[in-house]
Amino acid sequence: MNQTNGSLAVHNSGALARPAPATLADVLERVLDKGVVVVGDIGVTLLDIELLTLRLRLVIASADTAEQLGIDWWKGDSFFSANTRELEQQNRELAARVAQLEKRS
Amino acid sequence: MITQYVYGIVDADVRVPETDGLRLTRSRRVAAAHSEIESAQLEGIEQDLSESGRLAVLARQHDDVVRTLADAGAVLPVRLGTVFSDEATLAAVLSEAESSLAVELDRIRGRHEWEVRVRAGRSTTASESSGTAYLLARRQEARARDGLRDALASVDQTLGGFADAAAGPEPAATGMSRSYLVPDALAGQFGAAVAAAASELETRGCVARLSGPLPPYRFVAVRMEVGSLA
Repeated sequence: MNQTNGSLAVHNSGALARPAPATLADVLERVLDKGVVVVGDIGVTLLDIELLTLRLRLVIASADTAEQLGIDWWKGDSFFSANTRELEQQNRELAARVAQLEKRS
Repeated sequence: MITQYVYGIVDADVRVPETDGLRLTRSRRVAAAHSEIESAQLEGIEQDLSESGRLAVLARQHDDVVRTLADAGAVLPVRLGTVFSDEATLAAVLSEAESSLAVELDRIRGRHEWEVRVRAGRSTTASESSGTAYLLARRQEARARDGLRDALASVDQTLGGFADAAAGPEPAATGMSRSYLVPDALAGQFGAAVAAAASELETRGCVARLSGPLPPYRFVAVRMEVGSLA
């Protein structure tokens, strides 16, 4: 496919982050979003996508619970996990700052 | 019960590798790409959300097949987990929806989806040593955030100029996650524009990521009504 060559050239250039392999989070986000939807109940079965999407959101929102269940696929995706790391880092920095201020007074 | 799992809708005359049980059911102008699945395999699949669970396996397989179809020509991705009881039902629904599917196929022909994700850099405010410096830094940071949101909105506008359509949440101060439906003829220019934007955003501490070409997942929304066949 022609475009693949084009995309490689794009990926190799400068400031763009290297394309990470698609995580399950990426894949689910794409395949659950839209697409051709068959409506009706004659001879057709569908996953309950709304329910599934809600469950996935819930899992990501309650990271600790999910980890206990062994569900951690979003951790490899920087766009899901960066926030957590950032908050942890901010917490550490704020704690250090508070300690520093307390020493001074 | 053996049922038919559908991955995507393609042109009737497309040639796809019929491997791993992938088959085409054709109407006059369009075809559905599907394979057999034991219906029990889908029951309760949403209960197991682990990386190696049944849902993960299905989602990856679905994505793999849709990408294979996209390599062969225009494809309308079908929503994950769409199963027909048999090929006859599938064929009936397909011919019923044929004209709208053909129109949609023409609309996305020669186009692919590209994902652009930008993540804002980490805040550094909390490391400032004095109270005044801390407050000044916070004010600067708030300004930088506004600046970044405007910069991302402008990037979005530029990239949208190469695209038929864009999807995803509006760019925010924390970053952006947008998809663009880009004609293949403009993919090179689009890529260059993304690379240029990435260099500029890097100076603001942002990381940009481009994924594509992808099947037009976010730009196809078609309802196939089955009820009318009853």
